[in-house]
Amino acid sequence: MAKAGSRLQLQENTLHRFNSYLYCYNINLIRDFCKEDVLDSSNKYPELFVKELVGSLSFDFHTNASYYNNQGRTVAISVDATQNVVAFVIQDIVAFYWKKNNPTIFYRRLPQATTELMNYWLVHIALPVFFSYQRTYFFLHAGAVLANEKTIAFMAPCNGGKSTLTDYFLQQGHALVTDDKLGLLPYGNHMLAVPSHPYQRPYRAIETLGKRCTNVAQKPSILQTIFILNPVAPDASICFTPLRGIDKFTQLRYGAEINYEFGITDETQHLSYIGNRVRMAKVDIPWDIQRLPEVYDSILKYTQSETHE
Amino acid sequence: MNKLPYHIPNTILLQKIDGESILLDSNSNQFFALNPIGEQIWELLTQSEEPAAILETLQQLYDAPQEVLKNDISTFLNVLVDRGLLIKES
Repeated sequence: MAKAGSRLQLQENTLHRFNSYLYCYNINLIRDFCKEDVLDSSNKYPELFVKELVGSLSFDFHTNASYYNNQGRTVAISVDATQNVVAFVIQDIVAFYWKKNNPTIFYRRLPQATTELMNYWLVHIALPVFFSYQRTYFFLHAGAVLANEKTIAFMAPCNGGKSTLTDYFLQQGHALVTDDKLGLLPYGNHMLAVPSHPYQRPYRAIETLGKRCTNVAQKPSILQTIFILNPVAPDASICFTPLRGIDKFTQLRYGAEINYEFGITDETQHLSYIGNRVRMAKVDIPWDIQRLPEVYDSILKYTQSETHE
Repeated sequence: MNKLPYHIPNTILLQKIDGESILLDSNSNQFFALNPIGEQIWELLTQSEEPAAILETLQQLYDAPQEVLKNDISTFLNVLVDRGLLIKES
């Protein structure tokens, strides 16, 4: 944990290169701990800096820290409201720090840090948390792919078939929007789905980004429908039930994550905002891998029928 | 003027999705949907109407005997109180 000392050394002069419409994982991410290019860099997008923390930090971590378990590690998050600094610490691996409205994430290595683990925790976990805190995007726990140039998303409880279905769509040539965390931002009467990092973990191996995906959405697209996967008996029919009102809200609530700072009032407003701009449908998924092609076809047909409404 | 013997706790949030009103209790994390009549009563409650005004407004909107409406309003308010969505002043 950080000790008392000098303040964060922030690169204020980089602020002008950052704006709230930066495209989440298409940003030009500049890191000083990784040799491998995990993300495609492009000068078109604003820059986000990830830098090793120089010196120590004046930060009272324990006063208001929240702790939870993620993949066997204790993860802690704490906000120093006076300094507007957020600390996000992954047990034994890495501590990240950032300041509100500043495009630089500072990090400090912890004893078990490796480049691979730091990559994973930065890209898969810390960036969505960072963007949530900066109010750049609202995140849902969902897999998502492109279908006819719009995004369709899949939400389900753990082991509910979300990653299997996402993987099947990818195998059929659809572009990946995200494997796990769907960043959203408002766009008129719609929500835009922001492509995430180009990695996929179909078998949910822990602490790894998974396999590199070559067919990845290149820009945000309108989120057409969120499908709530409902596992049913292997021989059951594939049925769709459009959701409205409180049914939408209930599902969005289960799928909302990383919204630590927002508080329940803001979170509720965000969920209602999304609920009013996105179609949602429960889909009964027969629990038989052999019927995945049938599920795939049914979802595409349903999606197409919606566009003709 | 008789004031309503109820007040809405500041932990209760109202949101609308697809035109449906949803009450969220930020203390208990529970949420409830209101039907259109419940929504109208809730709106009247937020305007701090006197009891007679709620009854009068609903009478103008619904073709039902006064006693029936009175009962329905009372039942609804009791449900809200039971769920902690409304506090009855002692």
